[in-house]
Amino acid sequence: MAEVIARMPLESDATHRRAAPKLRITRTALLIPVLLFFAAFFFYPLLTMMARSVTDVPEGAGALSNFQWFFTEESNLRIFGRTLTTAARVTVFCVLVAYPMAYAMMRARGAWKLAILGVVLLPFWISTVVRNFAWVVILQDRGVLNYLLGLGGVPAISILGTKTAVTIGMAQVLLPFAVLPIYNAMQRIDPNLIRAALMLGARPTVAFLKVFLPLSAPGLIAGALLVFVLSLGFYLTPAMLGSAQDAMFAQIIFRQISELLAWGRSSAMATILLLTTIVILTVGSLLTRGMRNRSASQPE
Amino acid sequence: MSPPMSNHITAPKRRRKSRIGDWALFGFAGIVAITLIAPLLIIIPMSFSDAQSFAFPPRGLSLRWYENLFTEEAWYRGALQSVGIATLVTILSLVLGTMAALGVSRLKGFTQATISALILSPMILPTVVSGVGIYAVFLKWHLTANYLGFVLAHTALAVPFVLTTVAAALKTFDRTLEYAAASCGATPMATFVHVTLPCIRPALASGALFAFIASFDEVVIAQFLGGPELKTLPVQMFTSVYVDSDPTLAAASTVIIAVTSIAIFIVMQANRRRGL
Repeated sequence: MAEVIARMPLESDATHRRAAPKLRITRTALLIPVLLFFAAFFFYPLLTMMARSVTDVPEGAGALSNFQWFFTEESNLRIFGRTLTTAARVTVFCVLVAYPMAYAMMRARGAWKLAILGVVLLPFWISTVVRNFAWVVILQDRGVLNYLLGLGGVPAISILGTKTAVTIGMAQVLLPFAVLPIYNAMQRIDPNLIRAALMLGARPTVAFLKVFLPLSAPGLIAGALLVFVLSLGFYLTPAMLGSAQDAMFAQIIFRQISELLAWGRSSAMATILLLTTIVILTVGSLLTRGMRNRSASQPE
Repeated sequence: MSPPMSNHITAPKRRRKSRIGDWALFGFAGIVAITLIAPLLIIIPMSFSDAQSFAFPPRGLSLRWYENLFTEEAWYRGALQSVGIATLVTILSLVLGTMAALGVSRLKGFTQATISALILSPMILPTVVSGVGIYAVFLKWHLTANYLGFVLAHTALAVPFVLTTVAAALKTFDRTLEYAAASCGATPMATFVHVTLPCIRPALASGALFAFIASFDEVVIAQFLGGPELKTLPVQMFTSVYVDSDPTLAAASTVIIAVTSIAIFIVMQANRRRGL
């Protein structure tokens, strides 16, 4: 409201007093339909699921028996651990590729900048099933990769169904989520700071490590966080490119319902995945906010 | 980082070094770009293969997989169902998402952050998590194996995309235009239709594209909510690579790539004309 008043200095006070409640009614009216929609078709199902994880238990068992089952069954813990390590592997791979890509995007001019942006954003637009299918065609035993290796006289390798295949496929899908925050952070860096470091005698490597890298770190961490969290729920890519023995968390949740109709157990697992996601996001955003505040409070 | 300008004695040496660095940098970017694009281009020749396998290179040429796509019921019915659901989802999420963006842009501070986080949450939460909840509730409400259930569930996933694109456009939109219209006596609705809407039209186009794709691409909830008579195209594609190597998948993929590329091109043109 303050800006409205500042921008309309000629109107009388009475008009403002009448305008304020009117504006509030408009924005409430605008938000009510979408909030009701989300309450009914998104949050109510999520809450029901969480409730079911403690109420849908075998007769005579305690409320937490589904969680007990999850944390005592060794195969569950193995899959949960595998999901975390896969997410970590994908995150490291994504960041290592995304950082130079973001830097190239920052350095490029005009049409080239747009071209790099377009290539990076491509996974947003092309169907996930199509992209994963493309990796199947390339990585399968009689696929493109082995065909090209054969032309070079190199013996064929078997990649489809391995962790490498899953990592490649997931990294392709998740790359934009790492590139965009890093690029945003890099763009905000004042080039004069680098120039100053170089002028004061720092070697380019030192200027990069001591000035550029720390200043781009908030974007780096935000990107890594996003990639990690999104990796945790991947279903399609591990199903299409991995093997059944290397199933990820989302796949076993899916199977518990579609094959076993184990509502209580799958609700408990989905709740665990939900809470893991929320905890990581909260901790991560507090971390990046702390960093941003620190770099903002530094003297200019 | 541009090469240093101050020290002209060491400048040439550094410039040469940074040029090597540039080559390495853009060479790397080029390799990554090829790795991202080449897989999609490889699907296209596969779709014209005459063999019942995904083996590369395809030996003979044929159009039989395209014929299959348009004559076999599971494929063309799935495609029609997907397009129908995604179209309804796009319309509904454009309305809800634009209203949400307008409402959120009129809020400030904590309330704004909380409400937008709530509406954006489907983007971050794993679909399998929301899928388990939605499936259970929709079973009770008789919303499985019908269009309505699909449209409602997918709209929740699509609204965040409309919200982000429209909210971004509203940030650069000059609100004084709305006040001007309002002070000239325009109703809120007339202000929106004649002032705000023309300014955010490119964002609506991008939002619509994202919303359509969010629904058209969705597999997890679609598997839960689907039935024998309702099996969307991505689910059909997923099972066809999973269960049997059916090259109709390559033909369907090629069609999707072509249609998506055309849609992106149109939206980009719309954005460029608006000077974005």
